[in-house]
Amino acid sequence: MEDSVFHRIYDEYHQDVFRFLIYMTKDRALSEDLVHEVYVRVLKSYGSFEGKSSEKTWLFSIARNVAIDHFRKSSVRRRRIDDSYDWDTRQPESAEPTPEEKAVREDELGRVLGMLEHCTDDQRLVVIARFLQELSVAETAEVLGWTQAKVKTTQHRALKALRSLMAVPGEKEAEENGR
Amino acid sequence: MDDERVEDKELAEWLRSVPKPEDGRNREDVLARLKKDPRLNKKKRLAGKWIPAGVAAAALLTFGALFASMTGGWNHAKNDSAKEDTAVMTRESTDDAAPADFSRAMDAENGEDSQSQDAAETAQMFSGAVYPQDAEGYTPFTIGLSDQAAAIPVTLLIPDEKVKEDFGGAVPGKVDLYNRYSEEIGEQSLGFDDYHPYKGTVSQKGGDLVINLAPGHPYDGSGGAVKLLQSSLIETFSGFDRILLEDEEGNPADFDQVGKTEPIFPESRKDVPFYAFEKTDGTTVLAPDLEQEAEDPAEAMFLMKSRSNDLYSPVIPEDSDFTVELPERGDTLTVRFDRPFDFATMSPAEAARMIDGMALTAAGSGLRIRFVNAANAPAGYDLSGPLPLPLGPNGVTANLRP
Repeated sequence: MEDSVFHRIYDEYHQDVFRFLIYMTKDRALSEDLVHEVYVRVLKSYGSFEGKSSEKTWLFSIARNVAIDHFRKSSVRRRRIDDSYDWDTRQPESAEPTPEEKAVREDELGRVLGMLEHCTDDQRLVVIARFLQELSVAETAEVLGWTQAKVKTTQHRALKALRSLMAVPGEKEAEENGR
Repeated sequence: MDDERVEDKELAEWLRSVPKPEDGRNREDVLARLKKDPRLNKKKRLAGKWIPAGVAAAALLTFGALFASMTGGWNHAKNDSAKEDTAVMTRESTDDAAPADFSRAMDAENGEDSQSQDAAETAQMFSGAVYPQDAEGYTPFTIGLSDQAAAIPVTLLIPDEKVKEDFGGAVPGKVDLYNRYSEEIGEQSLGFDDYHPYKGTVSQKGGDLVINLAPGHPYDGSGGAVKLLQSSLIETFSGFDRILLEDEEGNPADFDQVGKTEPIFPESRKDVPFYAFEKTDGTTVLAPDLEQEAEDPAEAMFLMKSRSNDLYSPVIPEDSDFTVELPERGDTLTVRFDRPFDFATMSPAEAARMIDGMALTAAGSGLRIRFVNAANAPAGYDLSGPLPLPLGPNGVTANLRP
């Protein structure tokens, strides 16, 4: 393992990658585990990184894949318990909010993440990449494997959805709690 | 600027201003955990760790058998995917009812010359999966053969003309094909145990497959024998709602080893990972390990990276990192590699086995497979789009003389 590679990646991207995973999972302990997995994948494959994309977008692509893998596996695990789980229609989400997650949800970031739960997966991804991570349209397209046109379209729809949610504060949450 | 754009701008600014969480751990803690990870502390695998091309070619030379009742025989079938793996079988023509001898010849260096032999007498094997274009003019029928107490699916390609002749133009189902041809497979010539036909009668009742076992059948000798029978039935009769094992009176079969048998649900075993399976004769085929439990084809893909037991070897390098995306709509599963995956680092045979194994695993759920961020596939594979849905593994053709 190349310590020098680790130190450079850590200096330049560690907090960004960690944030991305927090935004995706809303779970600090889980994000620590997943950022470890990102490092493993990065350090294993760093020698073959060809520089066709920027190092930053390459890292975020790996982080995205790690998060998706996690959601897929956790969904599978839950489905083993709950046979009614519908992979095609259900969105991946944490089963129960952890104390950490509850604390996060109480602040402003929590409010954003709470609203994102009511967006589609694509909308959530584009909001995280474009506004929370502050990636450019081109970088977002590269990380998500989309065209720039799709990024822009999805971003427009995401903002529209968020505006709609902000116009009726608490409505969705109340609806959830009332179930 | 209209109101909506102003609102979007304000919303974007608010989102950007949201406090950003920080990882409170220090760098040394993060590094210390990485240093303990065994995945980062092993020697880098060599690109050539997988078996050399020449050995792979020999390993791919697997089948050689025939339908006794045909004037031709069962042979390997092969596409153009890896010419250095060319395996050529020739046989003496025969009119006898018994399986004829095959003489095998394999010349990895002179595959083109080998191909010049009489097309009716020679054939080459598929590199693992049978795709629709490989089976034009043939009726595919997958059957679970036996080696080392494991069921290995082999896709027999029966010439359409032969099927038409045998069934008077009617379209036969799996039971019809099994009852007509299973006795005529020269399994041992193909390098398998002599296992078929099943000792009993095979019939269809609605969506169920029913096998009424004959008295004194050999499947009750051990738990392994029962397991092999069940696995072979699953490989042969996938698509049926249930497979029912019954005695001659139509009661559930009662085995000493396992008691009364329960219905088998083949569809519950559809997401099964494929591996490389080395047969007793030293040749290698693709085979699913039915003992591996996966909840969906994505999980099955990940299982394919690790060895499940001594019989089944992974076809996907352990250090390859990829994400499997299941379709919300449509019929295509996407395998997206984290970093460019270069199939040229493997021999053509290994690369073909990996692609075919993954395509077959996805096909268990009726999904085609698309590779993203992969390059240099062996000749014959176009990875620019989804691969066609394979019809089955381990193709063997029956060549008929004109």
